[in-house]
Amino acid sequence: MLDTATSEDDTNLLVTIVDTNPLAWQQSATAKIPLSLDDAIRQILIFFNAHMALKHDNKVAAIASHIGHCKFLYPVTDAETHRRQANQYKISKDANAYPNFKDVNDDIIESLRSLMLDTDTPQKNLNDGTSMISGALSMALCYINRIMNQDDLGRIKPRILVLSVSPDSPYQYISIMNAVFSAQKMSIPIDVCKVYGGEVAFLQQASHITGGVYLDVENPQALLQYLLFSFLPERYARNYLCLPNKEQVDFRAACFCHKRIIDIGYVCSVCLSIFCSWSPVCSTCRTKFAFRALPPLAGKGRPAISRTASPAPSAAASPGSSSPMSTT
Amino acid sequence: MSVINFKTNIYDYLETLPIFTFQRLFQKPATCLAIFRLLPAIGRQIVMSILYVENPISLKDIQSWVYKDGHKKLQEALHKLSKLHILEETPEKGLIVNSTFRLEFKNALSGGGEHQSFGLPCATVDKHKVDIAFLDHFASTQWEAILHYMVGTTMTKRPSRGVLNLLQKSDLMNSTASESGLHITNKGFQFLLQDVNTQVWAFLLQYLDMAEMLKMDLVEVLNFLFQLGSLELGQDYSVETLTETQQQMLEDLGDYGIVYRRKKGSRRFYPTRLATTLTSGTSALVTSLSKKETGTAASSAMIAAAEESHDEGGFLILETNYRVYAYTESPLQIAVLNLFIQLKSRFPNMVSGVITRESVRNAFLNGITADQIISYLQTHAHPQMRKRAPLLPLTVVDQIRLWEMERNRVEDKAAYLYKDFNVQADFDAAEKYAKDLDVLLWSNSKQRKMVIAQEAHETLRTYIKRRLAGNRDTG
Amino acid sequence: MVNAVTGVLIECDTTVKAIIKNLDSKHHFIVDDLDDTHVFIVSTWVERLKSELERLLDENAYTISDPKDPKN
Repeated sequence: MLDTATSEDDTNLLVTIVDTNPLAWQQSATAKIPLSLDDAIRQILIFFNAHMALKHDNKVAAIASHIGHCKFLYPVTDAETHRRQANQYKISKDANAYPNFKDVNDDIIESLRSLMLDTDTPQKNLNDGTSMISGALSMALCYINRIMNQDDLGRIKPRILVLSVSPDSPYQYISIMNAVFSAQKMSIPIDVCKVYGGEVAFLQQASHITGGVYLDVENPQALLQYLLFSFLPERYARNYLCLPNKEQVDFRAACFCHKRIIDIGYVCSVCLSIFCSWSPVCSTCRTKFAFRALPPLAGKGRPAISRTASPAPSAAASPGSSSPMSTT
Repeated sequence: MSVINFKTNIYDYLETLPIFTFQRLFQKPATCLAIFRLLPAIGRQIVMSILYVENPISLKDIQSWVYKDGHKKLQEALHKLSKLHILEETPEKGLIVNSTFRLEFKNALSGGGEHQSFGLPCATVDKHKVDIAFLDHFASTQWEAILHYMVGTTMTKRPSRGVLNLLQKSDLMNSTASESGLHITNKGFQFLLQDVNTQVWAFLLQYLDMAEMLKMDLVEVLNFLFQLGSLELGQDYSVETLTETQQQMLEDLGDYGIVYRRKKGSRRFYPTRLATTLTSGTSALVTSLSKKETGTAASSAMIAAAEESHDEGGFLILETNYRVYAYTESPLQIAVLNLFIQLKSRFPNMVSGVITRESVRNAFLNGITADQIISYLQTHAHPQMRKRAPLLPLTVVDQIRLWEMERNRVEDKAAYLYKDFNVQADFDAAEKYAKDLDVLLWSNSKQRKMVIAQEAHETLRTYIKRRLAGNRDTG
Repeated sequence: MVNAVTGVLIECDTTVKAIIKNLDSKHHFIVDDLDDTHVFIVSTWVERLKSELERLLDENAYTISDPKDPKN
C-alpha cells in the first residue's frame, strides 16, 4: 500500500511529457489562434521555473514525445553534460538569472535543439505520424520509480503532466493503458493539458483513472496562465483547491485487431481482449471460441447480451465464449 | 515561568518592516523569490495564479478556488500575503499583486532584467580553488566553534570579537560580574537544541538588529542574505556587484562560516552550505558536516537530484525504556545531549544514557521546553529509527510532556476579590462590566463573588461606586 | 457593602487543591476558598506555596532508574 498522505514539506517531482510532434505543431502554428512550438516552449520553461520557485527542493524532469521515439530533455545523462561542457554551451553564467532555473532551461533548450536537428534516428516506428505518448509515459514511470526507490523518507511526491498536441494513436492503446494502470497503482496523478487538437480519449481516461487534472486549452496563446493556474498546484495544495476536471470522460477503447476506436465490440471472456469483429480464436490468449458470431446489428439496434442469441447458451459464461460488450 | 519566544523566524521579522522597506526589497528578484518561498503552500499558489493577471481579482473569486475545508488555510495565506505587502487591496475591493513584486518576480522566473541580484560568478579561474568538501569543513568548524564556545568546551579557539558581541547582544550568553568570561543563558540553552538552519537565522536576525544600530542599510543587508540563499555551492563569486555595505558584511559572515574568503580583501568569495540552504526551509545541513560524503559527483545527474533531498546524519536511538544511544564523538553534541539526558557510559564512537525525570527537569529549569526536546530527538533520529511510525516511542514523548505539565500544576494571577454584594442586580452589572473589559478571572453568581485582574481594580471600583451611588439617588 | 480584597488567584487541579488545603490548616494563608479548582490566597504566600508544592509532589514522584543501581 502506497502512502498517499501529503504534507507541506513534500518535495514535488514534476515529470512533464512534451508532445514535440512537428506535424501537429505545424498545424497549431497556423491555426485560428496560433501557437508555435517556440512560443509554447518559452511559456513551458517559465512554468518549470515557477514549479521550482515554489519550493527549494522541487524537481522537474522533461521528456519529449517525438514521432516514433521519445527522449529525455532534462535531466540529461552525464556523458551528454560533459559533451556540452566541452562544447562550451554553458559558459554564459550571469548574475541576472537564478542558476537553478538557468541550468534547467539551458539544458532543455539544448536538448530540444539537438532533437530537432537529429533527423538521422531511424524513424522505423512511424505508425501514422503520431507521437510516442506510450513510450514517454513508460519512461516517466521508470524515472519516477527510480527516484522514489532512492528516497527512503517518502518525501518525494511525483506527478506527470502531459502536454498533448497530437490526436490519439490507437496503435498505442494497450501500452498507454498499461502505463496508466501502473501509474494508478503507484498513485501518481497524470495531468493532461490538451494544447491543440481534438479530444483525446486515452489521455482523458488516463487523468480520470489516476485522479489528475484534464484541461482543454481554449486560447493557446495564454498557455502559461492555464499551466500556472491548473497544473502548478502541488499534491498537497490540491487537497484544498478546486481544479478543472472532465465531467464527461470518453471511455472508448481501441480494438486489439485493427486498432480502431470502437463503441461496441467483442470481449474475450478469458483475457478481456477487445475485438471489433468476431474471430474463432482469440489472438491474445489463443482461446478457441465454441460458437459462432452474433448476427450483425439488425434494424432493432444494439444486440442484447442474451442467451438465446448465442448458439451455445450453456457456455455463455464459461471460458471459450465471446460476448459483445458495450464500452461507452 | 514564561517561555522565551525566539525571534528565529525571518518571516516574523519581515512582518515588522514598514511598507517602503518592502518596496525597496522587492526591487531585487532574488529577494522576491526568497520571500515568496516563505509563504504557505496555498499562498504561493495564489500568487502564481494571479501573477500574470493584470486586473484586480475580487476576494470572492479567490475564495471560489478553494474547497470549503481549505477556507481557513486560505484566510491564513491571504493574511500573510497582505502582511508581506505582496497582495494589495484596490479601492474597488479587488486584490492585486504589488506592481514591483510582480515585475521583479516575473524577472526572476524568466531570467530577465539588469538587477544582478543572483551573484556574479567569477570570470577567471581561482588559482587557489577550493572544493565542496573544504567548504563544508570550513563551515562546520566555524559554526561549531561558536556552539562549542557556548557550551564551554575548551577545545576550539575563541570566536572573534564580533561573534562574542553578537552572542551577548542576542542574550544567548551574558557576562557575570564574578567571572571574566561569558555565561550561557536560558535562551542559549534553547538555542542549542534547534537545528542549524534555525540557529543561523536566529544569529542573522540578531545581526540585522545590530546592522540597524550600526546605521547599515537594512535593505542591502537583507538583499544580500537572500542572494546568498540563491547561490551555488562550490562556485566562486565576484565581489564586484556588491555594495559597500555588503562587502563589509562578507567579513562578518566569514566569521560565522557562512561565506569563505581566502583572505581579507580577496576579490572573490565562496558561499558555504550554511549560505546556500538559508532560504530552503528546514532541510539544512546536519552538524556533523564532515561525515557527509560528496559522492554525488560520481553518480549521474538524475540520481543526484534525489540524493540531495535526503540528508542523513541522524545519530540518536531512543528506546521505549527511555534509554538513548547516541552514535557521536562530537563533544558538542554530547554536551547538548547532557542538557536533558543523564549520560551513563561513553564509548569511542557512542554515548548512552537515560532520559529521567530528574534530567528532564534540569532541562526545564534551564528554560528548555518539552517540545524542544522532542523536536531535537526527532530531527536527530538515526536513519534506523526513521523507518518506524511514529518516529519516537509514544510513551517517552508523552512522559516528557507529562513531566512538563507536572511543573505547571498551579497557575497564579495577581487579582482582586470582590464580595459581599448586597443586591444581585449590582453583582450582575459588575460581572457583566468586568466581562466586557475582559478582566473577569472567576465569578460565582450564587455566592456573589468575583475575581478580577489586578490592573483593572481601579476602573471597576469606580464603576461600582458610581452604580451604588446612582442606586441610592434613584432609590 | 461591597468589599474588595487584594491577593492572588490560584488555579489548580483538585489534587493540588487538597494539598493546598492541608497546608492551609497549618499556615492559614487562604483568603477565600472559591471552588474545587480555584482558591484565593494572600499574595505574599505564592512563592512559598509553590516551593512547598514542588517538595511535596517530588516526594511522591516515582523515578524509573535508581541512580545507585550499579547496572545503570
